[in-house]
Amino acid sequence: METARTAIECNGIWKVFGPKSERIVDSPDADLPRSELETKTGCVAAVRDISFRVPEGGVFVVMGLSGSGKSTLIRCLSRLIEPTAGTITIDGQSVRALKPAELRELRRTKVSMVFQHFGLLPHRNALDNVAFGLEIQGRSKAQRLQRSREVLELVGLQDVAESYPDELSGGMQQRVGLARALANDPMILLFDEPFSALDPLIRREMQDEVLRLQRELKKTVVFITHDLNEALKLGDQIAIMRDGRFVQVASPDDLVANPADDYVRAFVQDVVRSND
Amino acid sequence: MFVVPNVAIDDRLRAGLRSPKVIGFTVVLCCTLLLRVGFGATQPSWWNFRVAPVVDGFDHWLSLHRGSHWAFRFGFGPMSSALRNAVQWTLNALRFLTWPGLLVTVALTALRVSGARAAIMACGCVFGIGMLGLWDPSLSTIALMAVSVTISVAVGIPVGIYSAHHPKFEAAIKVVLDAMQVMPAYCYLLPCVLLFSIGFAPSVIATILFAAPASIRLTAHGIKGVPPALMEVAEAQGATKHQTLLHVELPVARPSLVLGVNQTINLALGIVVIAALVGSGGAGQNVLDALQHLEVGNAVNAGLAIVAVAFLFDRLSSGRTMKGARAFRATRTQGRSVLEAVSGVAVVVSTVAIAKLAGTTAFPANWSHPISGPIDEFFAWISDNFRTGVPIIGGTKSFSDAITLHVMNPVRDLLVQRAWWMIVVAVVVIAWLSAGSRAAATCGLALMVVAALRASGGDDTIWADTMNTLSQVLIAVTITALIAFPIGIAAGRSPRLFAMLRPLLDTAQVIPAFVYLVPVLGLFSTGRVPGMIASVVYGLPPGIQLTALGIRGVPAAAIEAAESLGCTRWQMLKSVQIPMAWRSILLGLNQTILLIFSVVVIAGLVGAGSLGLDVVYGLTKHELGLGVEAGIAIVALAIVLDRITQGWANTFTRRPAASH
Ligand SMILES: Nc1ncnc2c1ncn2[C@@H]1O[C@H](COP(=O)(O)OP(=O)(O)O)[C@@H](O)[C@H]1O
Ligand SMILES: [Mg+2]
Repeated sequence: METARTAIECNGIWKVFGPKSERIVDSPDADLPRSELETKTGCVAAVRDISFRVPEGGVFVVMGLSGSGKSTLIRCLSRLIEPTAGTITIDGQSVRALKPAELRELRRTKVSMVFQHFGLLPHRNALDNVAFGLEIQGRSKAQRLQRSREVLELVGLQDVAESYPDELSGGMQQRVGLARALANDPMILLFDEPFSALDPLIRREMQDEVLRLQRELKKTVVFITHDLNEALKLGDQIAIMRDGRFVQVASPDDLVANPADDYVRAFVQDVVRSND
Repeated sequence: MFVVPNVAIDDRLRAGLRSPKVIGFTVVLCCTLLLRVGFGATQPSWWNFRVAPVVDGFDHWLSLHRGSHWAFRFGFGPMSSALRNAVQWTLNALRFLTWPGLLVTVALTALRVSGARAAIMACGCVFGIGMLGLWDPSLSTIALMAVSVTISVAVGIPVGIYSAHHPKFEAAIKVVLDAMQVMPAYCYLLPCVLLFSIGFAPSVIATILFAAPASIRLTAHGIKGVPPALMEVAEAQGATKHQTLLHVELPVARPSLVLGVNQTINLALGIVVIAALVGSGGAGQNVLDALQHLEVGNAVNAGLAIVAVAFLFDRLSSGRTMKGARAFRATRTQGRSVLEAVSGVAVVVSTVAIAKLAGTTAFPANWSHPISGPIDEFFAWISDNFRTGVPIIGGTKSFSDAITLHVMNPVRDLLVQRAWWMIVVAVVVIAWLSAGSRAAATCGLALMVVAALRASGGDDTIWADTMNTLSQVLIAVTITALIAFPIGIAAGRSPRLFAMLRPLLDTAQVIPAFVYLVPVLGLFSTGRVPGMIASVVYGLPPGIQLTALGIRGVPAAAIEAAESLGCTRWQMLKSVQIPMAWRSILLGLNQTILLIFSVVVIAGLVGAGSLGLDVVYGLTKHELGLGVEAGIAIVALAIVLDRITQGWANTFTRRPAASH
């Protein structure tokens, strides 16, 4: 794995929400705890000085409590949220230097995202939801439908292609979301807590599905979760995030064996106990 | 978890009733009512805007320069003739279709757009129009509607989209739209007549000004209501702005857009029939003529034709329900849609051809049975038997006289005979107490403007007419609230009653205000009472509906929590449902007041006099100075009523800070 090509590389990403946020990054204020920074400047530092590298075909999991900046971080990767500082390289391209049209091209072909809230269009049936990305790219109708059918089959939904989102269960909706992300055949899949809204049983099923697809299709994955078991199951590398910073980045075994501080230890404690 | 805020709201409401504000409010009201001394002139002598002479002078100048001035030769003139031609061409096209062709077109369109039931209804309406013997005037109304609504929607939807995307622009037009929303339809005609003279053109322009805001508002509302999550999905897929609009925003906002078109149509119809006052003709003209000659039978007949036109448009524009739309789309393939379109056109063309060969164009005269005769007989019978001398209730005339003498006159005199400054002070204090200092300043300013108007219509000055109108509105609102509030609460608590009332309430709101005057006039003859009753009848449906919706909007979780604590039904109503629905109820009251106000103004036509009559007089006798001054007073009064009630409702949004 270590010798594989780099799919994603980030260096010193910052995201500060609020007025005059650019000035915060290199100022001494940047090191203040979050709440102090907010009272002093009115800015929220959601992501602070984050660097990591994901090799092609790797699964990088980011874990942390709610509000720790996970969603903001993953959106910075494809600039759904514009980072305040730092460099992002995807497949050798410097993402922050891309012009709007190039950025759209990147999102259309290289990076797809699966959302916690599914984000299906209520007026389209499952098949047309999957075809949405292809339609945006201007593919012909025949091409679109054929490709969407293939992908729906891949996630096991060929039978409900004509159903509308509100007729599908949560798990099925997220399969459609997954199929939509896969339809463009992207190099990188971004998952933002995709299974948090699902029942535990369905969740496990979906995790297996992701593992299977990842092995079959060799996608590079960045996966956000707040569930340690999910992280341990899926991740090659796990980053623990707190108040916008990475506290520890390690392999699953390493993380459980050598937690870096009390915060991480509190996380992994459960697993240690349940493995007894 | 849910009970805590309820108790807080309930306490606040109760504390509110004993607050200095409410006590102050009551004191001011009582003083104004009880102090019967005048305390000075009814109008200030030193405060005069001279609006009427200026307007009349401008009008005179226009009549001399309309043919020569560049603004008219290259601006208003061509615009005016373009609009006139558009309406005329549409009318010719409708006539060319012949009545069977029109029927088939309507049926197929309704079938495609809104489903089978709507198609049947729409056909019934077309037949109804013909049977009432008003085929041609109704076609003219339909043509006027078609042009006005098309332009309104063509302008409204893009502007709505733009304003949803540009908050600054939205803030700017919101001020204008809010002001436009409170103005009754009449006020739109005046400036249009000034610039476009009479006929189709001013009617179309006035209708667009009146109706397009609904389209703008609801489009913007729909687009802004698209969940940010879906917008993000589109962005993450690499969609351009254009693609996002086309594939995400517009489809998701579709219900709101359809509602916007539907409302635009309803508003347009309300003004198109009144536009008969400025010579647009159509079925409105028939109602107007009949009303002015007190021919109740004819008025009812023409009124029904307008109702038929209203339903026709409503059915054509109501769209499908979500479920219906999905079932419809499920059976659709591209080939099938094309086939349907082609065969639809073929059916229409062949129907028209057959009708032409058979020589039919207008609805056959021997099929039509105007109901004026029977209606006249009916009302004659009513007035013979129920006018006076009925035991206990007295009869319609006695009732009307008694109301006039014991309710309307005292309230009117109370307002009319007070010194102007007392009224201004009272209104400002009431506005301040209920809605805050900004509303108070606005209301004070609005009334000061009215005080500066000097044209005198019939016997009274604008100020006196304004106070007269205000008295009628206050009485009508009180009666409406007393009836609508209990029914609305009952309907809000009983889903069955709500389901029963709903079609009735929806239907009632499609009928233009103008039409409500007709049956009341038959029962009560002319005067202020029929106007007031018509406005109550018109105001009831929205009043009931909005109250019921407010009560129904109370979260089920709060009800459940209160039930678990053992609340009785009465306690539930008093401590949970009404307090939590209070804001929506007040907003409903605000809407109802504005609707009532618009009817009271229209009722000027049937002897309610005051401001409405001034406008009608101004429009029909071309005394635009008088009309404009009355129009300004109407707008000022509408602003006062709107600011006070809306401000009052908005004070209930400030929830106590949640304690974390
Ligand atoms: N648009 C925004 N403006 C201001 N603050 C924001 C915005 N989005 C997120 N935040 C703040 O950034 C922090 C991290 O949010 P988020 O990335 O959503 O966390 P997570 O996904 O880990 O729960 C939170 O404190 C949140 O309040
Ligand atoms: Mg999140």
